[in-house]
Amino acid sequence: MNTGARRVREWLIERAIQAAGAMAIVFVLAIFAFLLRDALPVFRETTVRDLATGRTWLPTAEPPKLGLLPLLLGSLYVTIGALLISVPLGVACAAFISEVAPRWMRETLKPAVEVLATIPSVVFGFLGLLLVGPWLAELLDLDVPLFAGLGSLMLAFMAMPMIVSLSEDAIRAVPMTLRQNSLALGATQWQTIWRVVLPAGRSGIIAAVLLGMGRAIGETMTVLMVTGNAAVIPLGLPGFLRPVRTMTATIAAEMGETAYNTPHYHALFAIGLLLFIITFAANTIADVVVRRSGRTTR
Amino acid sequence: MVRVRVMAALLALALPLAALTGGCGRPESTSSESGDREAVAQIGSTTMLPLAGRWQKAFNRKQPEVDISVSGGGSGTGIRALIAGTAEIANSSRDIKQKEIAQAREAGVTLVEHVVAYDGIAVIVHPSNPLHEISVEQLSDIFSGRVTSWADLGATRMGDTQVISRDSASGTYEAFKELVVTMGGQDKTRDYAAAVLKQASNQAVLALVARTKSGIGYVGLGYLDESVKVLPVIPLDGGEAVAPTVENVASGDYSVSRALYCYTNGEPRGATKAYLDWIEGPEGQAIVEELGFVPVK
Amino acid sequence: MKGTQSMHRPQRLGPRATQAAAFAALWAAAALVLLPVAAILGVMFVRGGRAISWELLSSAEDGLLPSIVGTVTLVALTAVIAAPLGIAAAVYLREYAPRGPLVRLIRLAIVNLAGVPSVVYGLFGLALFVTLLGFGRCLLAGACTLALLALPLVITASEEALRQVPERLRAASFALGATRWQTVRRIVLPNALPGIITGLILSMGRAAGETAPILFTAAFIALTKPFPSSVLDPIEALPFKLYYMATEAHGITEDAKWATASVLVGLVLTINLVAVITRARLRGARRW
Repeated sequence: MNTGARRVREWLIERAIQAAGAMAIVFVLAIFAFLLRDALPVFRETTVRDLATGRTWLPTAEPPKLGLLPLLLGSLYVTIGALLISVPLGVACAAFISEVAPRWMRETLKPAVEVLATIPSVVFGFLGLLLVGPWLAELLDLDVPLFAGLGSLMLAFMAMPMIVSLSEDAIRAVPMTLRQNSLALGATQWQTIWRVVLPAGRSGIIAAVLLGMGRAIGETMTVLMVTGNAAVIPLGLPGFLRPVRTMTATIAAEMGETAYNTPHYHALFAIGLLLFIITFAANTIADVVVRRSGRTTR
Repeated sequence: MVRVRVMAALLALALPLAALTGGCGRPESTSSESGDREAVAQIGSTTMLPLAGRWQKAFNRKQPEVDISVSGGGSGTGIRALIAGTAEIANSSRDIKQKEIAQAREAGVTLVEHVVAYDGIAVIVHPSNPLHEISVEQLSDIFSGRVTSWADLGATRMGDTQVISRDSASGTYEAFKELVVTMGGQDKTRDYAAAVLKQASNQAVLALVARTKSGIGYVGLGYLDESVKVLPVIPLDGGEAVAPTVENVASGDYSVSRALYCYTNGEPRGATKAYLDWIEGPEGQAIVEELGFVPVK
Repeated sequence: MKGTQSMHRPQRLGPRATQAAAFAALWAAAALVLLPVAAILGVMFVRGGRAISWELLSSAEDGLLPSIVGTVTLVALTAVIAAPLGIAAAVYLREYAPRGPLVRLIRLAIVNLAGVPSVVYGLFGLALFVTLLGFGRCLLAGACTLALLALPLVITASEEALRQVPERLRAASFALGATRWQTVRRIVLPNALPGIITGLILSMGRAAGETAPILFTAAFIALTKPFPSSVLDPIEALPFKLYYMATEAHGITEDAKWATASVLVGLVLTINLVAVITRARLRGARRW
């Protein structure tokens, strides 16, 4: 084969590969740009301030009331509830898998957690709606079987695989010598885990929590199906037992019915933009934390 | 070796794909390409979806040469598709919006409205609820959050009301707001309270009310079943409570009802006209009645 | 030993007792992570299993066949779009990219792409593919949207597979005078193929279960045309069908809902199982 032609071909292929490499950046920017493009017109109708502090979400009223506060707080409530359940359980499970479990159990638990990660969110929503919700409502004597805490519970189990596997990576990355030194000083295995291993794996665990948060706040189908979707501002602990409406559920429920290019349509894109910014922040911080800890360990 | 070649070919696909994303108009509509058969795409309201499905089946038994495709997605989706030219008929369970009329005009589309059925909206509570009737004013107070306890309505030991509504973008939601929450426009400042639970469909509202002792909600007549108790409604001008039945909706005695629409681009022609005429005729309207909606004539 | 310690600090448990308690708590935590979900999935499979019939699976009229076909088609098209892009990006990152700010930025972008909420992908797909490019609500728009969602997974898995290829193979190839592309094409990619394919299948398992991204871009409930005749037709999809059956549909038996949920989870698990088997078989065939 003619070497010149081959060189040209290789050059072309390599440029194509390079372009594909940069594609991820292009896509992130494109998503941001498109959300922005369809979200900005909402400010012909309202202001950032009204959007952020408005306490009423009645998008089809005349004029529409586009207060995102109840939706934002609804999302935060469900997410924080999910983290309260999944972080302690997930980190404990990770510590168990990497430090305590007998070998055969480790070999069973890890794939089991991975299987958990594959269950689609709509299935969790379905199970919450038909099985867990009615059961919990009976147990707690609630009027309505759809409430914020139910969403938290379902999300906790959905975020669990991510938290377990990332925390486990972080714990595993703690150098063996640290453990050996601690044990040699007479500490029990538990003291070593609690005082040495977990603190040393701290930044990785924090990253796992942040990523779990990003996952939980962006979860859609489950919360749409189990949280009742009432756009109230949740208050105090009882708020977990009442219905809320999250940002993701609002987009999913209303986009099909709303008219194109109306303030309501743009407001839904504004919610999408807000979600994008929140998850972007969580992921970027998590990434920085992981990278920084990686450098210090090395 | 072959496999590697395939890989290389796949890699080479990357660029054209990026170019594809660069720019291209809508490829020709596929719905109108089935040879000699005339195609009618009917898109829109989820409330009307069962209705549209039955219409299509029955109509195609008579005239199999017309290729009718039906899909849901919501009233907004249907009207969007009609304006974009990807649908011949848009099903809508709500009145068209000013904004949509303007968008249609911009796109050179003239929206023509056809009322194809009425839908009575029944007020439902848990079977254990002691109430036997309810007035429009009381309903307005409940749904706007002015009354939050069953005791205020004369039902003791029922606790607080759990108000359950359709989702805020649905046609039923808007119709109920117009007819009941604002009391037929008497008090336009009233709107749904924030604490109202929103459900994706009639079915979901029904299921939730059936499971919620202190619940109250509304659903289309066609969805009623034994699992809930239906409350007759006392109209705004007083008088006897009226039960939501097909007869009472048709006669106008039961006031909580709304129209279901089909929109077309201009006056319908050809297969679309034949189909719409058939829907508005006796056979189409028989299906309307069978599914628990109220016929137009 | 134990006795004297607890004498000194009678108010606290000794370290061994603490350890026993703590380990018990860890066991409990591990059980709590898995058992409740296992239990409710068990209930689902039992109830669904009882209701699954050949009719339900194979009927195009009111069975699940259109949804199964729709999901499989959607996932296949997603793979066709995501694979070349994802693998090329991984090759760039692993085989070509110089260390530096650009690569750092690309990695950050991949991490963020993986974290974008699925419903936001749906909005993006609606704005770009459905509306601006005018695909309409269809298979192609849904597959493009899902491909974006799967892309970070494909890249990460492919990169991992490339990393597993021993450095000495590359060195040997270069030593024989091969160019970088020749090395990648003849040596690295064939050796990384098992890992790449496994990763691709796993990402497709994830895509198969997604609902939110296809909600406004592809999915519908077919009343008339159960099967798409081109990529520009909307499709039925199992996860969307389950959502519809659980919340919207009228007159659907509980049994049918449980059956649909079981079929969806069964499909996703099967895809994952295929990935695991593929990995085992292709690995077995290759020894370094």
